[in-house]
Amino acid sequence: MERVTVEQIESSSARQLAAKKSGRFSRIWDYISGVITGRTVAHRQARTAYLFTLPVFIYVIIIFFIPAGYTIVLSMYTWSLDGLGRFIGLESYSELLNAPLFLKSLRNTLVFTLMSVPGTVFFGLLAALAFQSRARLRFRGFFKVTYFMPLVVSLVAVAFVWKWMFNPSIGLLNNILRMLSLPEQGWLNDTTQVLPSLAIMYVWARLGFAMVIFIAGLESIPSDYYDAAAIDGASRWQQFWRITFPLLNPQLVLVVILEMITSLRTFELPYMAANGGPAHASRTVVLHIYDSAFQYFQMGSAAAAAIILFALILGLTLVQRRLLSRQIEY
Amino acid sequence: MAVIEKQSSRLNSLWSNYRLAEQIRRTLIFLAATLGFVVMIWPIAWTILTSLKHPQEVHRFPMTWLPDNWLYFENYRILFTEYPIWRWLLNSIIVTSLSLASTLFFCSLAGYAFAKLRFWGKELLFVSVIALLMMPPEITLVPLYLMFNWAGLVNTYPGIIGSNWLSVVGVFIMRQFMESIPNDYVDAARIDGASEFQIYLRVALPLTIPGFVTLAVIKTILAWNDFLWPLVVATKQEMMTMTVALQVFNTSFYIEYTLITAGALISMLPLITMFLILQRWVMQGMVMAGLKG
Repeated sequence: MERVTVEQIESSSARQLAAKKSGRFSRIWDYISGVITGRTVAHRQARTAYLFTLPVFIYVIIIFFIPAGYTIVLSMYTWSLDGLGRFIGLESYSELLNAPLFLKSLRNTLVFTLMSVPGTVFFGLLAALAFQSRARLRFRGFFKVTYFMPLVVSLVAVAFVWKWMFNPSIGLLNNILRMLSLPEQGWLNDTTQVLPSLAIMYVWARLGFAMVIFIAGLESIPSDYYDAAAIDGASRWQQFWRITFPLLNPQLVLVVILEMITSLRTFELPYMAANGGPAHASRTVVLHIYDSAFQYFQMGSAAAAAIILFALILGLTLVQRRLLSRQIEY
Repeated sequence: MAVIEKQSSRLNSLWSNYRLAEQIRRTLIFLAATLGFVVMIWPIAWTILTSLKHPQEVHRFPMTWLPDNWLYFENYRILFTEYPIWRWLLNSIIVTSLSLASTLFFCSLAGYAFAKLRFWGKELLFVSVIALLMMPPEITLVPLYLMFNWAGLVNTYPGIIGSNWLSVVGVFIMRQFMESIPNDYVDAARIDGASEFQIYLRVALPLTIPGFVTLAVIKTILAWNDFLWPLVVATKQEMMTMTVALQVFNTSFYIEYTLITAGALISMLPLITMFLILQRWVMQGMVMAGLKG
């Protein structure tokens, strides 16, 4: 700690006074120059702080701002192997929105999301209700851990394992169906069954996340509410709909939105398990982006598709937040 | 007296009825949970079982559940001798540990600054950094690849690390943990003449080890499992990470499922082991990362 002399304080307060008089710009300049030269203790602390956070700002600029701007630029230009071509405005967007393949991938993504999100929320909630501490189930901790485990496995490995189980001729699921003398299914090889099959994988892989968040929400609901309801003769079913469900609303909204975003971005499962097929029946938007950028080198079209995806995610998130959130007080 | 006795016996039978119903209910829930457990664990168990089978066993009809010989490691031998698995594992380890080291250092440093130092624009800067979490990484995939390609980083370790060298969630988490350090400790160190970096190193870091473990766990999982970015950047076989290399099995040649499952198992084993050791940390970390991501 350096000693601060009276002159220093006086000079700095005089400087502040002068700065105050001469308007905003010079005040900012005064701060910047103070930080650079390390005029006072406070300035030196700020200098250290800027230095400490510098990597974060570099990261944000390189990884977020420049690429984000570049995406917008790319989406409005043609692309050739030498780089940016000529300006075409919004042509890529209108082309995409008229391209059957992109529209199909958009539809597939939405259908997949409509199956996987409710599935994850439903089974996650079921697991949470069974494994909350109030339920006093035996081996609760053990169950919680095993239900969560798929979440640490990469989706690529998940896709492999399930692809093997879904195999129509030698896979486990059709073998079981055969043993039960039920009709065999096409699973990933069937255009109508591939998205539900992928949704099953998704629910299996993601359910633990919803479960842990729901458990945290459930444990924060005071037991008194349930005791009071039980004394009033409310059945468990009524208790769930009148107490648990409304009070769990924040966690439900959160999980629905997060799972929606995750499944709108889905790539690994359709890419590894079905390669977008059969007949593009599992082609998702991110798969379309990957395909057009890195197989066909149409960077402009891929960038436009990425921006459409972003708009979709943002729009749906805002709508859901508006529609689902309820303020509940008891 | 008799009335009371009658009442109490009625109450008793009511109570035992209730107990019975409760017992049945609990047993049913337990059975359902066990069924769920089997469904959840089965894909992983089936992977292990398949990887121990001879390719011909897999094609048998009717299907057999368990391997004929539990000590049949031929699949693993083929994998390790005919494919560069060691190289792929090494790549994964290098990429993961470098990402981990730089993320932990930069995030904790920034977290300390955002929590304990005063500077102009602190809140504004912090909020605008956190707001970027709204942006899915797929949006910047194409331009980021073009930038890395332009910089000549394709098929190099820094290139594969890509955006993994820092984490916005990590800054948020480390700030949370740093804020819980009492200001008195920091001030006392300042009065003793410690520089801010010394305070960060000697005072703040030892007090935020839980935050470190949480962030380290998240980053390990994310970096090890990262797929889309390394898939795009690591095109040479010798630069692929384990997760990307699995894809080689998928596309390049026809391979038996016995080999694929063995490869998938090798790729997931490190993380499953970590999860089983650090269960609580992993769950807490994944939830924190998920909430902010």
